Formats: sequence, structure tokens, C-alpha cells
Amino acid sequence: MSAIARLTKVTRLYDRTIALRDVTLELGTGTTGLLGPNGAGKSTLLRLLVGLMRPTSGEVLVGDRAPFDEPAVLRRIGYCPEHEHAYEGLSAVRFVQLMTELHGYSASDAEQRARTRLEAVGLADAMTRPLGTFSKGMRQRAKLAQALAHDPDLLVLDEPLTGCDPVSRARVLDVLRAEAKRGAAIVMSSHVLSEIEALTSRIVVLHRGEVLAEGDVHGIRALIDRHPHQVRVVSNGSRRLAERLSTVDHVISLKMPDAHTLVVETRRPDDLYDAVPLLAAELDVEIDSLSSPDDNMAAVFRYLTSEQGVTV
Amino acid sequence: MTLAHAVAVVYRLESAEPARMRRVRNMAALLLLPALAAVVLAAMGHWGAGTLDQLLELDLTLLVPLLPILLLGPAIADELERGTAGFLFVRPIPRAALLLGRLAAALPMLLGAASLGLVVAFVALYAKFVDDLPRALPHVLAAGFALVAGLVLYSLLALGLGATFRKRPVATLIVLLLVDGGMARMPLGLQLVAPAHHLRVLAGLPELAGWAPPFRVPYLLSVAYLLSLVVATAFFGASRMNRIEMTGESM
Repeated sequence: MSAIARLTKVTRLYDRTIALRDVTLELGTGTTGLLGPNGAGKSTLLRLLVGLMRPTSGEVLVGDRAPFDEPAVLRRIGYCPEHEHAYEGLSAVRFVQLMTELHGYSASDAEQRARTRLEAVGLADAMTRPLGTFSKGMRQRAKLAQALAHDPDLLVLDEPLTGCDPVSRARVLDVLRAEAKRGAAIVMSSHVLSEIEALTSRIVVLHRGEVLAEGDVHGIRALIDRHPHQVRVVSNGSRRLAERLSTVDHVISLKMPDAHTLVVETRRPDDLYDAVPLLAAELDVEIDSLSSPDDNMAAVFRYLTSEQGVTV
Repeated sequence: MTLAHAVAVVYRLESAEPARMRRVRNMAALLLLPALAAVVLAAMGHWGAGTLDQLLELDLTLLVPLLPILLLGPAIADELERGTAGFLFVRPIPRAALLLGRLAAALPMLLGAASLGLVVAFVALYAKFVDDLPRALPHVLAAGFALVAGLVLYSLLALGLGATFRKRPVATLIVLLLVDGGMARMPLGLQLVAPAHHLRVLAGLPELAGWAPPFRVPYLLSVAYLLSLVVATAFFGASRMNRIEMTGESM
């Protein structure tokens, strides 16, 4: 992954509050999900990336330039802020057009780009209406359009799906996938795990201003081996499987919520995934399903951000 | 992108916002108050240069400093509070464009209203002395120039100080009204520092009773002083803008 943006030992203070602490991160092409609860430091990190703030210490570079001090680099960046305030009296097309003009495009080029982007995010019919009449989800999409219209290399999105209905959410995700395919680096924050899950498996988990973990879901899982992972096995021989698994060293506990289901808690889920089919073959047990409730990012996030769950 | 292009775009952005332009119109309408007062005074039998000077005094020492401060002092704070500045600060443009664009959107209407007010006041108060009109014209033109200079200067000061005291727009008001207005009435020395004093010189208004300095400040010196203040304020405002961080509420 070639880095488009790089944060090196970045700390940011608000008065005496530490918003980010010693964060080092590289962002390359494709999509990176920034995950964390409210107050984790996600918005601060994104504002540092787009030059709305400067770090108290450390270095933020986009390409080889610091965005706060060298506004020329902002040409490469598109930013969709979290707040829903916009220019209420402006029509969506005018808003996006004027924002795009500020990247150096002529009025006609900017208008064409604005229309194309607003159509892409599903606002073709509403683009001439004032933003003040828009619903929250529509505003989000208009803000996204203004972030995309100048084809940025780095797209920074702060909770971009907030307020979107399922249809527009799907449309926005399609647009973002297309941007990633075009070669843009996308950084998207969310505290809703399914939103990020729908777009990427590369995540950075922030908690209390620190990078708790980064990598893909499974990579992060590997970092939290202090925590048990649940694997659910549905079969016609749960009891026999349970007897054999009880002797395996990395298995912590076994539960049978019903006659066909065995829930195994383990410290090494990958080993368990390998072992269960072999045991089933040996015991002549037919497995209907082998799944992990933990495969949902929600579980990983819960592990990582809960007081007891921090392992990195 | 050049500064001029960026200013033009911000100007269009401002002009397309009905609520903001409504506020500009309302403030501009207040600059017509001297004209209204002149008409009323003329109807009551008060005519001539003395009455005009009294109205100019009101214009230059109250309305000209106050209205740009009320209009533009909180401008940057509003943008930051509402978050709309975030859309502009992430563009590859000099941040000064935001100040100058707002200035460009507000100033023509303020200048137009002030000029119209002066013309109406002049006509109303000299209607009975048509023969004196040519003699009074240079004084009125000088007053017009002082009004223009004052509005430009105080608008820039309001924006520059507004960017500095962005969370406390009232500080801008205090700095300008108390310091400037107060100093203009101080004995020689402090009086010469106050823009309001030099605007009075430009307008050719008589010295304030009891506070007259022992010598008259040369006209060109006042022009140069005000010009240097405008330039310094513009640079000051631009430099303040470059240091503004948008921290937002949430982390």
C-alpha cells in the first residue's frame, strides 16, 4: 500500500483534554474505516488530515505536505464534514458548483461536475431545491457530492451515512466503491460498524484518542487473543463433539443451548475452525453450520473498546 | 487559483444566501437614517451647513463604525459556529478570500446606502439655499469620501478583529467603539491615533468643542494614516484567518 497520507506520532490536545495521543498511521489507496465510539478522536483525526487543525505535536502529511500550513495540497483532498449545516439558501447544484469552483474549475465545468455528482448520489430530482429544504440524508448526499466533485486523491468522510435511508445508503456505498476503484484513498469514520463493514475490511480502531488496533477484521482479531471467541457449531452430534473439544487446550468453555447447537469459546479460533471438521469426520458427525458470531465487526469492536477488552 | 478568483466565488456564495443578504440590506437601510433625519429637520425649519455637519457627525462617529461591526464582526464566528467555514477552509485558496468575499458582498450595499443618504440629506438641507450648493459641494464630496473610507476601514477592522475575537464578537464592538470612539475624544496624542478623528478631518468637520488639538492635522496625513490602517488591518485579518483552527464540538 503506497501511502497518500501519513500521521507520525500525532498528538492533539484541546486545552487539557487529549483528543489524540501519539497516533501513527499510513493511509493508502482503497478504503480505510475509522472506527470508534463517540469521543474516540475520529473527527479530530479527520480534521487534522484535511488541514482544519494542526497537531499539537507530531506530523501530518498528505503527499509530502502538511495540509494546515500548505493549502495547495487541499486540491487533492475532498472532505465531507459530520455536521449537517450548509448554505441553507443555496440550491444543491449551486452549492456543489461553487465549492468545485474553489478548486480552480470554471463555472461551466464546475456546474457540469456538480450535476454529475449529484445525480450519482441520487439527488437528480432535488438538485435545484435549496439545501434548507433537504432532509438530513439528502444533505449528507449533497455534502458527499461536494467532496467528490473535483476528483480528489484523498476522500475524507466523517460519518457520511448518518441519516441516509437504506436506498440512499446503498447508492452512496456504490459511489464510494467506484471512487475506491478509481484509485482514491478513502478514509471514512463511523461508530456504526455495519457501515464500515459494508465498504471495507481494513479498519483502524480508535479509542480514547489512541489507535487501539489496525488491519482487517481477522488481523485485529489476532491482536485480541486474550479474549475468547465464540464459534457456533450446529450438528447432529453436539454432545460427542463437546466431549472431544473439552480436552483441547485452547478451548475455554462449551455450551449447548439446544440439542443440536454447540457454542465453543476459544482463544485460537483459526485452530478451532481447522479442528472441528476433522473431529466431525472422525466421529462421523454431520455439521450443518460452523459460524462465529464474532465475525460481525460489532463483536470485535465490543471486545476492543470495552474496558476489559483492550488488549493491544 | 488566484485570490481574486477565490474572492469572486466567495462573493457569489454570499450573494446567493438570501438570509445573509437580507441582513446586509437591513444594515444598509440604517445608513439612510441621516437622510430621514435631514428631511424631518428640514421640514421643521432646520437648514444649512450646521445641520448637515451635525448629521455627518452622527453618521461618522456612530453609524459608520457601528453598522459594519454589527454586520461583519460576528461573520467569522458565525461561519465557524455553523460549520460552514469548514467547507471553505478545505479548499486550496487563501483564507483571506473568505474575508474579502464577505466584504465584497456587503460593502457595495453599505456604500450605496451611505452615499444615497448623504445626497438626500444634502439636497434636503440645502433646498432653500440653492445658490450655496456649488460652495457646499466640495464639503459634501469630502464627507462622502470620509464615509466611504470609514465604511471600508471599519468593515475590515470588524472582519479582522472578528477573526481574532471569534468566540466573543462583543469584544470587537468594545475594541472599536470604546477604544476608537473614546480615543477620538482624548487630548492630543491619543486623539491622533483614533481613526474616527481622522475621518472627521477628511470630512472637514469642525473640531469638537473642548477637545480641539493645538494644531490641525494635515489632510494628506489623515488620508495616509487611514490608508495604512486599511492595509495593516487587511494583512492582520488575513494572518489571523490562517491561524484559525476548526476544532468543532465533538472529538
